[in-house]
Amino acid sequence: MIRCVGVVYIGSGNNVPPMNYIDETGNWTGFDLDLSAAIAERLGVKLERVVVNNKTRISFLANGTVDMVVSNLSHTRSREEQIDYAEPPYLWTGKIAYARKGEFENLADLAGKKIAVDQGSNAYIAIQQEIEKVNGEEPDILTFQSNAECFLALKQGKVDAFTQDSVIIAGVAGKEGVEYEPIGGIYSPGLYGIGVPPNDSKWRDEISFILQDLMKDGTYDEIYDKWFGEDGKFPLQPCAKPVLPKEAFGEKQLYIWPD
Amino acid sequence: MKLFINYEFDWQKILSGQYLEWILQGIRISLSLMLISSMLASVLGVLLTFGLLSKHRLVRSGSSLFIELCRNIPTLIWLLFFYYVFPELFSEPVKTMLNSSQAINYWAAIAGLSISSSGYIAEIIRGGILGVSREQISAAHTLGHSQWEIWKFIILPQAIRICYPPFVSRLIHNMKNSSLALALSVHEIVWATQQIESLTFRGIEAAIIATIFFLTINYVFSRLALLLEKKFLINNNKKIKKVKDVGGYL
Repeated sequence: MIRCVGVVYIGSGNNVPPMNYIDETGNWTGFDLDLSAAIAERLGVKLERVVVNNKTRISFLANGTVDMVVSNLSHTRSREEQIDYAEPPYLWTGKIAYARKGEFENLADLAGKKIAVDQGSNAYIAIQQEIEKVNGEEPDILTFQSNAECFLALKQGKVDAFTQDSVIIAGVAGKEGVEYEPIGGIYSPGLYGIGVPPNDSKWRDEISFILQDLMKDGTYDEIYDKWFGEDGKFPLQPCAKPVLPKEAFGEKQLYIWPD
Repeated sequence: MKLFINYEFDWQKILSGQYLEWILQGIRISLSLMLISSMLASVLGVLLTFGLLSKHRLVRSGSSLFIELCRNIPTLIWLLFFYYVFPELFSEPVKTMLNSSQAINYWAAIAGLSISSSGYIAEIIRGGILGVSREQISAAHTLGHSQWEIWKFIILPQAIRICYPPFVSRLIHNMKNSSLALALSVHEIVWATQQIESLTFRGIEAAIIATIFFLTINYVFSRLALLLEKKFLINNNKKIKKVKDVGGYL
């Protein structure tokens, strides 16, 4: 599709800071936006952005509305059945359950409680499975249309906890996060990947190669440092780059296909 | 962009187990939202009309201000207002009670939908009442009919006939608006279809189910309304004629 029109349609969300959001000055920005802009530049075609949300990002890929989705898209089995992913994933993340300080000690305490999730996020299934593991009572899950609404519901006491990818919670809670804390540790580890339409391996390879080129020549690191580095807008500790084991390959080596 | 969608339907998946349960629950909740909010909106609308026609200036301007607020604020904002802002207007014990209540999202949706529609309904009824010719009313006064008789035999039968069609349209509009409740995590039919889409990615099937539901409900409702109109409002017409015959002047 890109070949004939010279335009690449890239889908990203706009309410998931710091991955993709509208900043105070009204600009559509975020890690996903920077990464996809770099990819479009390498493709050498015009970039046309398409707004997607958690519910449309898969169907837009499946029906060909967009050529790729760069929108905090975790790689999951159920999504893999519908679409394909470029390799490698570009960020690892895990989910946390977030609640008022001192209210809960670990995830098991959330059994039977009210929990907010962003509709369309796989946190919906993940938190239930996590609580099922400890044989807890099924939680009452409220779904909202954005992460900001989830956090507002938590602040107002409409829910007991809010669960989402840790990087997103950091972005949404921002400075107000001081009164809240993650309950227990990170659960349901995941990797953000670039979604591409199913059954088009040529296109998928093209994107994979470009992504790996960006990782090889340092463009990816630049974008990462801008957002999540020590002096970035949302410093992440520990580093969220999907790196190879340090003992074998040294510090922060990304996995790139050999020639 | 591909213009033609090559899509294979998979109904089996979404019409079974948890998903079917969500759909059935969604239909139940949607129907109750539609029914309760339409009734409340109608009652509130009638009260507001009385307010508009009141002898007291304060009541009149109060009602008119309220109607403007109802009509000029988007329905979704009303829903979000009742869910997020309304509890904050109270002080501590009530606030926490409201916020932690299990059903606040459902009742916030009912309140938002009813308020939003009531302003329109009040205006529709007022329009119906004003649509009755002033000459008829003056004539009836001259003939010595009481206020009550004038309302019962002259204003109401004609006003109802005038405002019935737009009133039915407004209720249909309100029934469609009920889907906005999904923003408050009310598990109505569109919530169910969105949830199914986000878990199975079968968005088209899910949307088709919601569409069929709304089409059916609203079609049946508007047909019923038309039947009622034919059966009762045309009879009312005859009644007016009878009054005319008796009065001779009307």
